[in-house]
Amino acid sequence: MGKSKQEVFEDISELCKGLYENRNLRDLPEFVVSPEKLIQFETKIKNNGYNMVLDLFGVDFKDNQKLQEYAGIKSRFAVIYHFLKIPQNERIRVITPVPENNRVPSSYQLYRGVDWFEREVYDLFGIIFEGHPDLRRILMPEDYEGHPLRKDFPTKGVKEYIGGKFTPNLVRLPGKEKPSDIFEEGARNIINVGPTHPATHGTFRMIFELEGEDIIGADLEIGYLHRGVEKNAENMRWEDFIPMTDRLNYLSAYLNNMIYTEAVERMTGIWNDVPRRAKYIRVILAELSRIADHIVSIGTMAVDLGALTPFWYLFKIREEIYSVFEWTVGARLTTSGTSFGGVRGDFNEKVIEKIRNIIDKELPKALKDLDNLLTKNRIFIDRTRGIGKISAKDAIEWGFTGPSLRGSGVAWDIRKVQTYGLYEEFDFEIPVATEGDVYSRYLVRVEEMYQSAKIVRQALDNLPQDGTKIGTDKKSVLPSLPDKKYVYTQIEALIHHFKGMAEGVVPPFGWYYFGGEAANGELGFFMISENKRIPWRIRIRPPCFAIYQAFRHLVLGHKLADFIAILGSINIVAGELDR
Amino acid sequence: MEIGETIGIIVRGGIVLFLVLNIVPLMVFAERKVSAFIQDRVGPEKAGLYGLLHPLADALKFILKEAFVPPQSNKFLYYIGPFITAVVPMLAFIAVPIIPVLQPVSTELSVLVVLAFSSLGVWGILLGGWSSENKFSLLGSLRASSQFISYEVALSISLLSMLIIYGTFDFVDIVKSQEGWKWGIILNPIAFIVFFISVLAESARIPFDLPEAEGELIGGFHTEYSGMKFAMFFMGEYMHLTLGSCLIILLFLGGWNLPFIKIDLPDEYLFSSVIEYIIYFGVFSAKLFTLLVLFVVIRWTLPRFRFDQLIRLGWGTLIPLSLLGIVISAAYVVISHSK
Repeated sequence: MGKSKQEVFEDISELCKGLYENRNLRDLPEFVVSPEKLIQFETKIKNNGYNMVLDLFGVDFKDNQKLQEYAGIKSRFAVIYHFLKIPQNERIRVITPVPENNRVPSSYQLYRGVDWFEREVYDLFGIIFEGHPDLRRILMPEDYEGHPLRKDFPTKGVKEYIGGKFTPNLVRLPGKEKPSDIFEEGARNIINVGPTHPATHGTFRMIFELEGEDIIGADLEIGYLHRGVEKNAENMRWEDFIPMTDRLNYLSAYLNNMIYTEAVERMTGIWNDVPRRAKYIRVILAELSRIADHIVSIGTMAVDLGALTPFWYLFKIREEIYSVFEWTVGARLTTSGTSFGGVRGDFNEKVIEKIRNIIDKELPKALKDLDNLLTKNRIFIDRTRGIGKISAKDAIEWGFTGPSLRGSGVAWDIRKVQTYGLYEEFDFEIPVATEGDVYSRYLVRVEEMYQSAKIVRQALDNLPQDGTKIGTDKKSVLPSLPDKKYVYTQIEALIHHFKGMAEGVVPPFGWYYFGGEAANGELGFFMISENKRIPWRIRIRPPCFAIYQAFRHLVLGHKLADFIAILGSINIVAGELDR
Repeated sequence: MEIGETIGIIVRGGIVLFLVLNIVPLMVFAERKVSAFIQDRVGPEKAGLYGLLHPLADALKFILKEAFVPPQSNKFLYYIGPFITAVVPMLAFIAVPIIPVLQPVSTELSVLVVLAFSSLGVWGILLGGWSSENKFSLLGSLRASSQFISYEVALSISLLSMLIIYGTFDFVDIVKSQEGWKWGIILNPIAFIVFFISVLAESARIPFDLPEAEGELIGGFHTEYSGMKFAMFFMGEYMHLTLGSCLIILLFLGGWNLPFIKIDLPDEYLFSSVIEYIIYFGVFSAKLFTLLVLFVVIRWTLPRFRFDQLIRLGWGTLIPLSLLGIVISAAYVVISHSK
């Protein structure tokens, strides 16, 4: 490598000449690359160490010249790439204008991880990626008409679609593409798993081709839980989107709330004015929900492998954690626990005592039981060791983040590499396992629970006392609300209050990306604001989506019984996968 | 055969059948309560005292459920599958002496009779899974057949090593020769271990429940069964487990004998033999329930094997071990005869 960041940028910007100039003023360095030069550009940055396509998505700028100018393009559609360099944490954004014929070259040959992301853009925007080996619709059914995320796709009056056409296109084990003789053909058997199957915790479907019990071909169908969250975001206020984030990874809703809230706060520039107590409460509840998420992940994997008892020991803790949420926020599962500039609810002595009880007594006890029942259990080790192996290089290429990447030996945690959410004030470690198999990912999750408990303990010890809501004097970007006592007594103040509440938060014009460490990996929000009360577009970067696309390659060559172990270890949550 | 003898067989058979059939609801109850205890739960407690009537509610539910039959299945085979699984272990009890007077048919070849019947049980699973016209059922029944056949080998060899020690095919004689301290588990612990694991595998419970592995095969061979037909599979599994436990007790744990104590009431008292039999029955039942609870505890502690690991365990570990058991038995016989 050897080249400095500046030299690399000089080098690659040769290819973007004449398109866009001001590239260092925003949250990430930006490059506008025409589709003809895209592959050349990507080859260059790949050689310079940008090893992951973190995100790839489309944007529709229909009839919005201001935004087109901001993006530096003239076409209606743009495909935006986020490239990431691990472990240096250097990110760049690449904007590719889409020509009139809606065709851009596919990056699949360079970065395999764009597989499903390109399919999604094709599905929702109708942009064709030339050279993609398997360009089918992914979230919508095959025979669905229209591309929902285009701005001219109506939100009302769409004819109800009934059905769900899907043609499997199986990836096969190398050397097993075609049966060599009639006997081998007879030994093959297509088996359909899901959408309702005990091992699919959520609704998604897998199609396996078996030879005996060996999986030699696999395809996946997702989209059963597709609710159009990103489309909904374009039709609601910024605050109203917080409850929608609950329904992404509903096992750790608070983490999603926290990341989205912080994203908007940073975009509007009020992050530094948020009281420290609110930030601490966010960290505590977020780490508790990370524990709850890992509990579900490990517990359900154990159930699928036949061990029901660890599940119960762990779920008891999860119930306790949900009680903490209930006592603080009011809801158990879909918390919506944050608001811009603060948090909902506050800790009282009872809650703090309960949290201390969970992390100091009950969680260590349950994890010790788990250790005895699973971690040292010969049958469990035999079932999980060497299964679903993925090397660090492949994991990065597929876009793995979170525990799944750390299970492959890459010490990558957004909480450490990037300052956000006051995590820099706490002392904790990034657990890493080296093998990249199911057992490694399991061990990483278990150790992360200890680390989360450690963070919560430190946060409780130093809990600041400066309130949970941003002060009214500091709400420079939030609607300037009058003091509550005037609202109740003066009509003028009431009108201002009403107007402010009706408009909500209005972030400044432009776009912003913010990603945080959710329980499964990097959950990112890319937001485009027109300086209006509803966003132009919110793109959610779901961690599962990138991980699950590798699943059909991971299961190949394993036994039928192994797919549930692999599926459990990467912890797919359909709400986040399908959005 | 005289008419009195026939009536005797029928009466004794009726009593044994009654006992065995009632073990099933008891086991269901024990399974629930023990698993609840293990998992830090309360368990069922609403119907009856401590939830004792829940098995009854289950039975009612099974009877009232819709008798669903997959339309494209072979009806005859589909119906006969659960029937075979449930009836065959019952038939095997015909030669099992819970106490000597309760052995329905006294025969010198009782060990062979029990073995012959118990190994028929896999037919029901195979036919049921195959005739369901469901790929998961088919996979489950294929797994079942190869699993049962594999473990039948280890089971038979370790049984053989015990027969070498006892020198008889008659359960009553086998138990009589285990009086005092000479239990099979002490004479040949290797054979006991192999036999125990094989019984666990033959009853298809966790960690060997691959034929029905609900995580991967939904319900395995009984995916398409509901109502009473499913309940018969269910009963078959428990009775198979009970039968296996009875065999373990008879062969290794001294049958109705207490360790180191010979129950020998003087003949002159009235009913002395009746009291003896009651003690025998109590001892046997206590051993049986201990074993059954042990099986329940194992089920709720361990995860499940994978199929290739299971077969490797059967052929690669248990069969060589059971052969070692034969060597131990032979050595014991040689040493004890040379004295």
